[in-house]
Amino acid sequence: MLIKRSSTIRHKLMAIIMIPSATILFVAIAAFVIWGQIDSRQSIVQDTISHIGMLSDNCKASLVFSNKEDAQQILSTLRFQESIDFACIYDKEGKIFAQYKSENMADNIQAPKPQKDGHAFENGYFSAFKQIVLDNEVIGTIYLQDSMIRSSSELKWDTIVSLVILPIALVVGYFLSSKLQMMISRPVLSLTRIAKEISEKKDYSVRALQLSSDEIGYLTQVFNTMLEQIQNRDSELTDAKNQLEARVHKRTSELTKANEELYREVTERTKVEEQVRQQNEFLNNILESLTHPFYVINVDDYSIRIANSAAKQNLGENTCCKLVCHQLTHMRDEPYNTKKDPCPIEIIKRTGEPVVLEHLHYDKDKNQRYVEVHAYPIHNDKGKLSEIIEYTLDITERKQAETKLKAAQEELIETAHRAGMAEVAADVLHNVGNVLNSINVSTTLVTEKIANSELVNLHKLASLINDHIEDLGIFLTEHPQGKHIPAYLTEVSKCLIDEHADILSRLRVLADNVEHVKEIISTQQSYAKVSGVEIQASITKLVEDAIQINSAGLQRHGTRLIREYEELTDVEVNKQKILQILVNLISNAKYSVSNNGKEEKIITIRIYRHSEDHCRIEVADNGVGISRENLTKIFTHGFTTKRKGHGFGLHSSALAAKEIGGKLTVHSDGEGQGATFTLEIPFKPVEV
Amino acid sequence: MRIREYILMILALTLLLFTHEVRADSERSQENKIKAAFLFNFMKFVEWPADKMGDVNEPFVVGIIGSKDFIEAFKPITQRKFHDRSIVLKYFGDYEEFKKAQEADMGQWNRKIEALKRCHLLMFCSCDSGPLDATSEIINALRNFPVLTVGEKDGFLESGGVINFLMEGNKVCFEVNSTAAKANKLKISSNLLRLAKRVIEKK
Repeated sequence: MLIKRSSTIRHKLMAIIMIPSATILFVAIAAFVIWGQIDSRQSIVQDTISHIGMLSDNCKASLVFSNKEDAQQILSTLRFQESIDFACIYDKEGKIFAQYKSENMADNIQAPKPQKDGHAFENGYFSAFKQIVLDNEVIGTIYLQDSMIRSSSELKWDTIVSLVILPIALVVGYFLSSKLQMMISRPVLSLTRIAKEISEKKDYSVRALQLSSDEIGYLTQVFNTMLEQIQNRDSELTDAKNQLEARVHKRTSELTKANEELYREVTERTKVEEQVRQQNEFLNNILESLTHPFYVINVDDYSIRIANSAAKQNLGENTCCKLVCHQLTHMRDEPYNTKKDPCPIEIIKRTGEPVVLEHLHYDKDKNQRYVEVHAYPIHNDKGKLSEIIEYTLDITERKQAETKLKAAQEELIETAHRAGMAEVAADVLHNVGNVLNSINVSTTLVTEKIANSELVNLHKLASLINDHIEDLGIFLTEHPQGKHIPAYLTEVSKCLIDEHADILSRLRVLADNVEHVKEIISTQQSYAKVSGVEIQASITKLVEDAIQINSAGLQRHGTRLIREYEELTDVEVNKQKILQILVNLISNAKYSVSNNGKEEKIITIRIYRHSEDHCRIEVADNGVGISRENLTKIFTHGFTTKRKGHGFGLHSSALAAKEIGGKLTVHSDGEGQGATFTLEIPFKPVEV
Repeated sequence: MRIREYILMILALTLLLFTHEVRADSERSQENKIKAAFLFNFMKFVEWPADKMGDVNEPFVVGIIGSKDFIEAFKPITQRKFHDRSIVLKYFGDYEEFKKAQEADMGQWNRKIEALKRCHLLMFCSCDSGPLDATSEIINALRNFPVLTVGEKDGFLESGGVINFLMEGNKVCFEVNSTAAKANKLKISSNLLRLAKRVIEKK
């Protein structure tokens, strides 16, 4: 192969020039030779046809006039055509009329049989037949045979010439191209040399010479530019390398640090995760340790997200997670939401606030249990309500206890009420007792009086009389005992009259007292009947009634009672309660002054209008007073400083005061300083 | 045997005689045949002026003056076509008639000449040496008219005829008067001229 990948550029260029040139030349020459041949054949055909035309035209006359000599003569002109070496004319029967033969033709040439018009190249000859037509009538045929000697000689000469010219031309071309290819190869070779030099010596400061201004020149330019860039790049690289080392060092340390930090972070993260896990576990434990059922319920579909074991235990292990809260606890398919059993979710949805409700739930054995449902909203990151925490406390026992407590409380209230009533009753009884005391006294006196009454003596006297009935007169006048009888009788009657008056007055007092008692009792009864009713009353009267109830005691202890009453209109009050309070207060004051150890025992009762709609009743005494620490305890249930006190009094008085819309207060300067109890009640004047 | 041979001999002799005669006749007719063929061939090498040729439907008129022998010989020619035209043969009588007409009646003479002028080719037949006089007059009358005058007598050309047949031994030849041809506005192909034994060209 002339052209190999590794042959030099010079060779390649030469080959590029020569091979096409040679090929072209060869092809051109061959083309021309061939064309020459074709052309010569064409001309042979042309010539022959024209000869035939001429000859046939000329020998028409000879043929029709059967003048063979003339035809012969005509044919003989063919001797001037060197290439035609045989010709003959046939008459209309196909017999040879005349013929011509060239000199160098063999003598014994056989004329071919006459044929129709046509020509052909065969056997190295060109032969042509043509019919001679005169006035549309074929009078004969003419035949010409060309030896083609001309064309073969032409071919011979053509070939020789081209074979001579071709090498000469190629040689000339070779020298020309050899010179011309330098236009390309020299710059390329120079560039190659420089490149080789640079790559060997690694010296990038060398530059290539630009020998031309075509693409190779441009290449050289670019090459130089690249070298420059490489040089610059080199120096930059060196700089960068140095910088890079420093940077790498720095970055390595940074990375190490970052790595450490990362590691730290990771360990911390792990720790945190562990913490979280522990926390979760812890939370879980908490949840689990909650003995109460604890749920987290989704607000949108009421499904149970979390349920602790207490819940599961209580309501059935597997069902917890599958069911919806109301299905589970209320055994309903819809959220339970009646007034009686409102659904905590609905309430929380409405209010957004935690809620505590009491529900009736079913446990796993389908028993009904009272539960206290505590529900708290959970908001998700966006602040939207997503779930609720619900824990239920089984309050069945508590409920029962509550019921009991309530009952007990009621009982207690009842008891207190009773106690109050009892106190009142006690007071009443006390009062009654007091009164009874006086009644007692009275009756005792009366009894005494009667017992010691002269009536007995009278009786004796009567009996004495009766004894002496027969001789009453005698008796009366003579008997030592009898004599005295009239005087005695008069005495007795005087005594009896006195007695009678006395007893009468005492009985009056007794009656009064009894009346008092009746009053008290009827009052009490009336109070008992209509304990809560406000009726028209005079405060003054009430106070007096209270004083009256306590009068016995007051009298007994020699207590001085000072009244400072403001005139007030009648008001509508709860008589019973006020009475109760007042009785109690006065009783206490009485007790306190009786123990005060002072000479003077003073109880002051004041009534005054305190404000537009309140009036006060003060009971002040100079009794034993109340110590500071007892001031606060004094109204408490069961507190008493009395030796035999039950502690109900002030407590129920205070309660009663509250009940009627007022209040009971106390003031004392201290022990031994006496005390002042103030009952403040609403002033509801009755329109007279 | 002998009688048969004898009869045969007589028959043969008679035949010979006849054939001689016939041959003599046939020689003559053969000659006429050849001449007729030549005439037909002459037509092919002569160019008449276009106005004479006229429409292709018009026949080519061949006239014969003189002996009637030629008619027979020319008959086969009439079957052929000449340039797609039919060939018509017309006999215009013999020379005496012409002579008489020439001498006696000019009108008739003119008429006859006029008739002759319609021919393309006029064959002056002469079996033997007949009177030639009328020939020249006819020829003269026909001068400048495109009629190819063909004769078969010596001196025909000198009289102004265009082509004259000759006999060279048994061969039929001809000679041409090209001047006369030109006078009659006829163009004669050089090929024909070349084959002519003699070509006269009077200046």
